[in-house]
Amino acid sequence: MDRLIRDEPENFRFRVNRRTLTDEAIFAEEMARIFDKCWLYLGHEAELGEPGEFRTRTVAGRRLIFMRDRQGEIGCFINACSHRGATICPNESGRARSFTCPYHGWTFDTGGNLMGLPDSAKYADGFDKAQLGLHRVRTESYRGFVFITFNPDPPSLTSYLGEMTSYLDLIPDQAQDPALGMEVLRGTQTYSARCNWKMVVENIGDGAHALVAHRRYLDMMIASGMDFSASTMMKDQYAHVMEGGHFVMQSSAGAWGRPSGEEEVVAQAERRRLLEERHGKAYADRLFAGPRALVMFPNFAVIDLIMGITIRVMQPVSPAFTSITQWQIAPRGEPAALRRQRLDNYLTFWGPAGMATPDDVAILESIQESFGGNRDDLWQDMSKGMNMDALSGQEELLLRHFWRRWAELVLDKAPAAEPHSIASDLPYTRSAATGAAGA
Amino acid sequence: MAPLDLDTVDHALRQRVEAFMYHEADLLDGWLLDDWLTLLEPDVRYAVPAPDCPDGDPEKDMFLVHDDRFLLEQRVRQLLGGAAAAEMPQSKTQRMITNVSAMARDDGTVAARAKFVVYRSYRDRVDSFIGAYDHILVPHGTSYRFRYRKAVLALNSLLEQGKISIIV
Repeated sequence: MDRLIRDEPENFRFRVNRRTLTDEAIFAEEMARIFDKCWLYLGHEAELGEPGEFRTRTVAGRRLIFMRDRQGEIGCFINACSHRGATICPNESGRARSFTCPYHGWTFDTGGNLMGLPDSAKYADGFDKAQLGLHRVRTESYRGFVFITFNPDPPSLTSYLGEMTSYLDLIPDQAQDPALGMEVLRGTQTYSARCNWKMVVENIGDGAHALVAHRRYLDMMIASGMDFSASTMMKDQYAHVMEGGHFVMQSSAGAWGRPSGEEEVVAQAERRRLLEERHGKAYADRLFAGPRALVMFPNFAVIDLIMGITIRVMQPVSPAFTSITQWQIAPRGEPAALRRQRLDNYLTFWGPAGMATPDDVAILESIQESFGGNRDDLWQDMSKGMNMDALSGQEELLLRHFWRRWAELVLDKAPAAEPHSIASDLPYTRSAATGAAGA
Repeated sequence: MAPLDLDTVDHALRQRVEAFMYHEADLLDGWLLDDWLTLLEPDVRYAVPAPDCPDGDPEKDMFLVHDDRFLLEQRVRQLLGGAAAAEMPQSKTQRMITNVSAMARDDGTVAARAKFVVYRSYRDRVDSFIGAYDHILVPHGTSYRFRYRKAVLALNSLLEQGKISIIV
């Protein structure tokens, strides 16, 4: 395994062989050992408002139907007829009473059960329709976030997510009205990067690239009148690594994007007051502490810029192709001014047509191209900060953390400890105690 | 769709709008982006809806692009200043604009529609963006300016293109 990962705490070096990003055999191992074992994000319950509503999407190479059945229960099925495999639901979204296969007319209800098939008299008596429903995929939800797993014997979702649940809570806890909850906005951004999926995930935990690769976005913010500099961006930034390969990068940089107008400032103050009243000041301080990125192993991220909240899934398609889907999640029933600002805040940076993401895509693609046939035994270096107490996202701790979990699953390699101590006294707990953090 | 009545079609207006749109395409293909900015009204909006929400409202729904003049000026500065990694080196583009129609509106503006294909060559790769324009133009001197410049993509996703780093 030293052929693929050289984790040398004693030398303060951490290197990953570039073959991990190009090799077909390693990709197949990842599919079996990561994507067929872990909990994977499927969608949000709020996407399926009404009984019978569905979305079709591809997760870990499987084409799936994400479904709310007639009884209102969330489910997930392989989008293929149990007879001979034809696509049972060709539409991306909609509402269905049942699904009829276009090939031989087998019909399934919204719970995936086989309701009928033509010429059923031509089957023997023992032919059991109950055994021939659509293939059901195991789902579990955490506060509206629906995950699936292909693992026949998985841990519970909450134990899989571990400490991350306390960060995921911060999303639905921003609801304008707890009874209304959150909504996933109409409009999906689906794009791609012709590079390995792990580089797209890494990119989110790689705080140090922002000042270089996204200089143009920061210049835009400054030109718009924001008081923003490298030091404000990094203010109180910390990296929280969690068991299971998950991680969070959080700062108290304040909201990104452009300055708020008067109407927005008033609406924001009102929102803060509302949430303080509901949750108490300490928790509201944490809610509004600043931009945070939540990355759940292997390929799911929630990026909360205090205004725009992005849900992003990065699906491996091949060693050198990753499909990326993003949604916006927002409090249902929030004031129009906040919605407007949320969208503006989001779009300027995060979209595949924003002022930052296209550059990430282009740079990541150039990296993949640089690997060429990859016969040169070259290595990615992720040693930055190994000699220090790396608390921010500006070092490469988060990358090492992700890769150590990867190596644990794919190479059966027990993760090495960082050579320094990672503080467990996290800033948000300190802030909550002192009330020092603010928006 | 209402039956076609050719007597009500303002052919002269269509020709003017067509010439304006071809001129705009020349500026964009030629990377004459500072000149392109002069075609924009101060209150312009440039919108590209998400492919699965082509009729969306940019103040409520997620788009791919919803820029005002400030953001467009920033984009132009970045694209011309070599600040955008996605456009280094600058891509070559060719815009095909067809099926133009134009209708005078009561407030003096013009609703202009057209189909487009924008081909973008970046290094050895060619991406194409297909769709329809749905603009609002304001007469300005002997030409027009954009009040609303909307490009509705006839794509289901950007999986093939990866991103949009040019003005489409």
